[in-house]
Amino acid sequence: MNLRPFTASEVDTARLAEFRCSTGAVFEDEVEDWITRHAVAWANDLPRAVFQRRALNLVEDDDGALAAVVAWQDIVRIDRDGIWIEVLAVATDHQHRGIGRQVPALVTDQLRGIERDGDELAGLVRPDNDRSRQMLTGAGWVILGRLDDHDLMIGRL
Amino acid sequence: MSLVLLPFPLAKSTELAEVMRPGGHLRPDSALRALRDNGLPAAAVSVVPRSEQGAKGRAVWYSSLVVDVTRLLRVRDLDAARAVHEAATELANHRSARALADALVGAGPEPDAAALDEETGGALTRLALLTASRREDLTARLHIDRFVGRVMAVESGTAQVRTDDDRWVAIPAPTSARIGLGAAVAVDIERLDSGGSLTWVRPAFASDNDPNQRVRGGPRLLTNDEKRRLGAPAPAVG
Repeated sequence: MNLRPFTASEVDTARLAEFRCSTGAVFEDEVEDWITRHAVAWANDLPRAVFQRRALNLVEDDDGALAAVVAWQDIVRIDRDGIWIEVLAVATDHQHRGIGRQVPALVTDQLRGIERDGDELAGLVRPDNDRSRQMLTGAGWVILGRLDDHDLMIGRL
Repeated sequence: MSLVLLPFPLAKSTELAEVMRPGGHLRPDSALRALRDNGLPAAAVSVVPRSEQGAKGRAVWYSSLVVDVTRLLRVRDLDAARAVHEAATELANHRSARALADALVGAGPEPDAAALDEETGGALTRLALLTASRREDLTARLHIDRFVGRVMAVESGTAQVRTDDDRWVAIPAPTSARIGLGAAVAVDIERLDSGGSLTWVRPAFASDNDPNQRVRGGPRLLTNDEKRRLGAPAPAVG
């Protein structure tokens, strides 16, 4: 698999708009909606995108197909320094193939090489989103508390 | 989705002088010198030229933690002052402070917090959150009670403040023109050895809400329990 930055090309824009990760759960619909309709605005929202070092990335499989979407930025929601994972979603046609374990490892490797203020990882997961919670706990994350009706999960590089 | 009130995380030397000598008159330079002479030099976040006269016409912003350092120096709690000073110096060099430094140059002598936060992409909120966090960590050493809220009424020299946890507290009406009806305020009540207290009112602001984030909402401080848990050996990822 390959992780690369989203570009503003027509191809990437179309692939993002067509990205599907929901199997019907409400929280999966919310993530899919954000990726297809709001992620580009999030990444281009100046000057926030600059100060918060936002990055929207595509994960492609060995055939070049879009396997996952990952977005991160500096942590700003809590009083720790590190990287905030805004979204990490595996495409429906790539689910149940072990990619849910590979993507966090790929992202972690990428994040170890970027400029950042700290080594903590943080993100929000809906309490009923068992699959995402399992994916992250399998990668060593823990649930720290609650934030805006979500579980605040923490990992470390 | 609620707006979170945060104390303004920066202070000028005039505020340091007021805290160093409550009710008296002390030159700002003298307050800075007293800090320096006690091994507690105030690290500047931003130096704002006010005129072409160079150093003679400038405003310097410091971490608001230096206000605490000044207060602790006044009461001669030097151990606590050094601990807070270390945090203040660290924050003055934080990336969020560096992002604010340039923006402050163009923001005028009394910057609008919301505009400053917007212009810097949330750097003011970030620095304010980290500053509040450090104060929380050091709370046992600060000798103050504190809260944030909004001024809901001003009458006969008294301001009624509605706190962020929905209490109503009466405080002496702030004299600053910046802090009027409806203003967000951060109140520190300093407990004196004599049994009395001093009330300090500083500006606060409502942190920015990002319309594009996936989960809407403002920042929050971790609880002490959450911080303790993060202080344990961290889980390895990958």
